[in-house]
Amino acid sequence: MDLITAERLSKRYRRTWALRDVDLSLPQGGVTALVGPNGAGKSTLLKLCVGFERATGGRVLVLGTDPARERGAAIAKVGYVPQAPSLYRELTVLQHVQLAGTLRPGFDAPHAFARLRDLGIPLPSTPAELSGGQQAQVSLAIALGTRAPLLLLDEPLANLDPLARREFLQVVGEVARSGDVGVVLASHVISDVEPVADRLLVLGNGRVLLNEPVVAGLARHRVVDGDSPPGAGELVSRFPDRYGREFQLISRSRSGSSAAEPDSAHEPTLEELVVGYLASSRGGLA
Amino acid sequence: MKTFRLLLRANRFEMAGVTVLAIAVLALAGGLVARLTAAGIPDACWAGSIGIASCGVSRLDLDAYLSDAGTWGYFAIGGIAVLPILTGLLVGITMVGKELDRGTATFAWSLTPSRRRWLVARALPLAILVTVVSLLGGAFADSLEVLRNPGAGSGETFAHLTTRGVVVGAQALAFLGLAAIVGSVLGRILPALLLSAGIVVVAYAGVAIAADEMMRHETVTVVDPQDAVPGRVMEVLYQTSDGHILSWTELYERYGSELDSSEDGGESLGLRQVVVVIPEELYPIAVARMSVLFVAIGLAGLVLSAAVVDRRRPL
Repeated sequence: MDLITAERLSKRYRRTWALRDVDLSLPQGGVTALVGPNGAGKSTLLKLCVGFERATGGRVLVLGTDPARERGAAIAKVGYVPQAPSLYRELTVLQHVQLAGTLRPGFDAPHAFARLRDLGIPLPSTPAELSGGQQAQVSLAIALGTRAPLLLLDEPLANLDPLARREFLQVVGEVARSGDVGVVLASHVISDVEPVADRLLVLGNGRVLLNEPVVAGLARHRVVDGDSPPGAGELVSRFPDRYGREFQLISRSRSGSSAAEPDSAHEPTLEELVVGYLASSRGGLA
Repeated sequence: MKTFRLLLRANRFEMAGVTVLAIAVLALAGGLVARLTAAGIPDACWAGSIGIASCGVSRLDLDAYLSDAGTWGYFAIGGIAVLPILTGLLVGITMVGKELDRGTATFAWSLTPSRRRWLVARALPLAILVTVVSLLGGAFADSLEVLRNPGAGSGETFAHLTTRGVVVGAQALAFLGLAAIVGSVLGRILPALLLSAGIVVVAYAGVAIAADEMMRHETVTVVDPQDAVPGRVMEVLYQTSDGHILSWTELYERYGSELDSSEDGGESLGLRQVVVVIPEELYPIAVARMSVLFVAIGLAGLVLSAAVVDRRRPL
């Protein structure tokens, strides 16, 4: 059973489509990096999965359960960490874990406490006494305490300093490697998710631009200079690098064409792959 | 129990405010009831002119009693009147509105498989707490009504019907429910507090008017002063010699200047004063009716709040 399946999933906020006719499936296991610019629909997709939003059209299934119809059953399969830590100002870390225990049947408080202890987070502290990174870690520890088979992390790194990001990702990587939990990590900063991502899901303008394992995605594409012939394969887009030089992202032919690749061709970095697809969605350079 | 403890802890400032208010009001009212009761003024003292009757109590003691009942009683009754409003609003807003405003609904709703159960787990103990505290206040207000108006039965005048007895507890539940639904819809503390306060005023007035209208259908018209029944006098009317009962305005339209020139209050025109009274026996029914209306408002507010919580997105 897939972690997440979407069938013609659409969500509209007044006149703006956050997601439009999205079809996707994310297989179990590993870390899926959900990337895209602001407004691409990343948060909306995750909120639909946790039952915080209702789809305008189509449906999404979380481990086979439709959150719109059976929200309780869907929530039971999900641990969710929002972008801004939604902790109670008046409660200590210890009390947050206790509260989670009263809210979630089967909550594994010792597991959450163990995580917090490993990270050296003081249990008697209130959120105001913790750094942003520590607050994010508390949210993650509580999400892990749910023992849910799917973790949805909605840009939890957005407000963290580099060290806190690294520590957070380390925990996410450990969890994913344990094999029990599938993780979907949303971010608009590609370098953030690169160290842990096993799969790449790129959203742009409310549509899925790319959804495949990172290794396969990198192997299937080539980057060539802007003025080189594309060789064997299909032009995905033209995109500039940070110095303004233009490159082309080429999707290599699956049929194994014998056409020679240009000398400048090289395997893309994760950032080039994502930027190439995002450029294709904007249509300006392709 | 742990849930309730954490709930109190998470809303400790609101709870501290409500607790201080409740303790102050209840201590004042309870202390005054005890003091006035301990004064032991016999009923005989209130017959005829106060202090003149020989009832074994000095004029000084009677004056002290009346002073306490008047001044401190005024504050106590005032405190009891605002107790259900403030506790209901403050606690009702914290129930959902504050959770949405602070973003903590995201935390709770991402963990709980049932938002309704989440709401019930917090609404039930808070509603009981607020209602019981206000009921205590209402009980003290009932006692104070008797002690401040010695010689009069508690239901005789229907005075302060909305600020004593079980009505006060029912009001607290109503205001809590209203604040809960407004908080659920708006998801912002201050706007929800202001709007709830406005709705509370309307609800308060609406229930009082509705209860009054219902009571008007149960009035008794007393023609002969000998038949006077104790109760709340709703209107003073006039009976004409042909048996019609008219208001003063209708009377004036009918008799005009004749009425002006009459020096005996219209007796020479064959007019008799009659009173429209709600009998004292209806006091418990009036209280029950008003309480039911307030409880219905409160429960409706909580049910609607549950429906909103079930459907809405956390901010």
